[in-house]
Amino acid sequence: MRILLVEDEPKVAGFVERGLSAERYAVDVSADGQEAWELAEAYPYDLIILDLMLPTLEGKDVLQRIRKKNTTVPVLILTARDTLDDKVRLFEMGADDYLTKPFAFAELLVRAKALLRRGPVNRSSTLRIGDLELDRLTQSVRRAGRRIELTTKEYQLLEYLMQNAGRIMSRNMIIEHVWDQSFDGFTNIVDVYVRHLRAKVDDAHEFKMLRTVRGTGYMIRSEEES
Amino acid sequence: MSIRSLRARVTTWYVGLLAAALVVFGACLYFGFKHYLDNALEDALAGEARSIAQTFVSEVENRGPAWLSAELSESYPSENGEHYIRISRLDPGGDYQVLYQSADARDLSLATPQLMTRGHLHDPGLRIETRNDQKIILYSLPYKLSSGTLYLIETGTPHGRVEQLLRSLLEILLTLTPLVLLGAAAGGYLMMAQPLKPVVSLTLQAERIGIGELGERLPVIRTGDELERLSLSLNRMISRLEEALAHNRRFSADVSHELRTPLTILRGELEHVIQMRNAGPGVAESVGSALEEIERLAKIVESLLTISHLDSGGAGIEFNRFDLQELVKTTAEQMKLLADEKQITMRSDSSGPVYSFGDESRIKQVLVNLLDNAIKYSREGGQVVTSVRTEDNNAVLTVRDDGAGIPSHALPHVFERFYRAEKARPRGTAGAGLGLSIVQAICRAHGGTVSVTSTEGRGTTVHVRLPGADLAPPNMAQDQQAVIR
Repeated sequence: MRILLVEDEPKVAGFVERGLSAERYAVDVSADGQEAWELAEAYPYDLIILDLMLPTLEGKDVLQRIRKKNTTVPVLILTARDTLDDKVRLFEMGADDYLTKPFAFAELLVRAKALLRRGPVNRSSTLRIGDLELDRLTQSVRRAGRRIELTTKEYQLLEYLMQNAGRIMSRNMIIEHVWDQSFDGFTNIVDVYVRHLRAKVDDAHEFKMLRTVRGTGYMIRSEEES
Repeated sequence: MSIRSLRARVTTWYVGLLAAALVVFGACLYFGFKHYLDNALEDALAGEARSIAQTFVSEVENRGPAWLSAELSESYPSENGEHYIRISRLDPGGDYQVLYQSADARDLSLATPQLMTRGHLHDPGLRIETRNDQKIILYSLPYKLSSGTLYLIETGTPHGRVEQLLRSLLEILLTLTPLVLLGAAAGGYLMMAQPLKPVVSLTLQAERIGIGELGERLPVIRTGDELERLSLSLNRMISRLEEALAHNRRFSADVSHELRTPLTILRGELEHVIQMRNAGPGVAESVGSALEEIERLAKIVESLLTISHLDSGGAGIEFNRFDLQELVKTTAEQMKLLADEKQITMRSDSSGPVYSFGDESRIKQVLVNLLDNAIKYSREGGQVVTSVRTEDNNAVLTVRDDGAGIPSHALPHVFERFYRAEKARPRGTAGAGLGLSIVQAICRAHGGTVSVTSTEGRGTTVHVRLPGADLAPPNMAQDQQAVIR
C-alpha cells in the first residue's frame, strides 16, 4: 500500500510519515503542490493525504487535477480551516474525507484505513474480544458467558470500541460516532459513559479490558494483546 | 415632554428669557405711566389754582368774598363731585378764614390751618388726603396780594381715576404676559420640531444599527449646517468601528489558524512519545497530561474560531424548519447520564411541537452547552427543567436549574469570552468560559437572543428566543408533561 503525503509543514509531515511507516505503509512525502501533482500523476497511489495550504500549487488545485485524471484514488484532506462552506466545497470537488488540525494521529489512521478499505470493516454479526462478546443481531453483550445489560448509548459506545479493538480512540472520534458534533464542546459526557460502561463490563473481572490512555482517549483490548 | 429633551430645554430657556424681558418691560411701562399721570394731574391742578388766583383772588379785595363765591360756583360747577376748590385767607392774627369752598370740599377734613402754621405757606405743593377710604390729591398754592394778605388756593381731585387707569394697565399686563408666553412656548416648541426632525431620524437609525449591521450607514442630512456635519462624523465613526471590528475578527480567526499547525505538531510528537516502548510510566503520565492540555487548547482555538465565524455573519448556517421540542427531548435523553451522576432530575415542560427555523445542529450545540452548564452547577439531587413554547411567533426555550445561581455582579458578564463568575472553577470542568459565548453567537446568528436571570442560592434560568416557524397544528397541542427517565 502506497500513500502520498502532501504537507508543507515538515514537522507535521515528519510524525505522520513515521506513524504511517510504523503501520507498514510505503509513504512518499511532498511539500510542494506542483511536485505533489507530478507525483500523483506518475504513481498509482492507494491514498493521497493532502494539506490545503501549499506552495506553488494550492491543495484545492491539486485535488481538482487529480480528480480530472484519476477518479478513484481516495483523497483525505488536512486543513487548518474548518468552515462548513469549505467542507462542502471540498466534498463537491471530490475529496473523500476531511480532517481538521490539530488531529490525533489515531484518528488519521482510522480514517486512512477506512479509505484504504482494509480498516475496521468488520460487519460480522458477532464481535469478540477475549471473553467479551457482542451480538449485533440481538444487541446483547456477554462477558464470560454472563449477560450484561446496557443502555442504547452504552451499547453503541462499546460496539464502536470493539470494532476498533486494540486501537486508541480519541474522545473526538467517539463523540462523532456515538453522539454527534454538537457534543464536541467542553462536556465530559464521554468520560461519564465510559465510566458507566466500565462498571458494567470490568468491575466483576480481574482483567480490565477498557483502558484509558491519558490525554489520548480510550481503547478496549483483550488479555492477550496487553 | 421631558425636560431632558433638547427641544423642551431650548423652549424653556427661551420662554424664561422672554418672561424676564416682559416683566422688565411691564414694570417700566407701569411706573413710567404712573409717573406721567401724576405729573399731568399736578400740572392740571397747579394750572387751575394759578388761573383762579390770577382771575378771581386778585380781585377779591376790590369786589368782596361774595362776588368770589358767586364767580367760582359759576365757573367751576361741582356736579360730579370730583372737583374740589377752596380759597382761604390768612388773617394777621394767625387764624384762617375760608372764603370759598366747593360743595364737595365742605366735608373734607382738610388740614389747611396746620399747613399754614407749619410754614409751608410759601411753597406750592401736592398732598394726598383720605376721605371715606377715597384718596384725594390736593394742590395748594399760596398767593400774596399787593396788600400783603396771604391767600391759599387749593384745588383737588380724587386720585381714584389715576389708580383705576393704573389698575387696568396692570390687568392688561398680567393677562397679556402669560398669554404671550404661552403662545411663544407653543410656537417655539413647534418650530423646534422642524430642525430637530433629522436628529430624531438619525437617532432611530443609529439605534437600529447593531454590531451585525455595521455595513449600514446613517442617512446624511443635507442641510449644510451642524447637523450635516454630525451625521457625516457619525458615519465616519461607524466606518472606523466596522474596520476595528473586522480587524478584531480577522485577528482571532488568524490566531486560531496559526495556532493549529503548532498544536498538530505538538500533539503528533507527544503521541509518538507515548507509543514508545521504553518510555517509563512517569513519562507516559507527564506526556498524557500535556496531551490533555493540548486537547483543551485545541478546543479553545476551535471555539474562538467558531465564534468569530458566527459573529461575522453566521457563515455556514443552514436554515431548516425543525421541531425544537423534539430536539430538546432527544438531547436531554442523550445527556441523562450526566444528570444521573448527580441524582439530578431532568424534566421537560412543553405542550406539543414548537417549530423553529434554523440550523438544527447549531441549536443542538446551544442545548448541549446549556444543559451541561445546568447540570454542572446544580446541587446533587436538584432538578433541571426545560420548557419550550411559542410566543409572538418566536420559539422560546428556557432551561432552569435550582443550583447555586450566579452572583448579581457577575450576571452582566456571563456571555463574555473567558469570563468566569468565580475564579476557582469546580473540579473537572474543563470549559474555558466559552460555552455561553458560543451559545450567544449561535443565537445571534439565527436572529435570536439569549438572556440569563439568576438568584444566588436559588438557581439560574436561561431564556433562548429563536425565530419561530409556523405554529403547530392545533390538534397536536395537547398538554403533556414528561419526566425523562
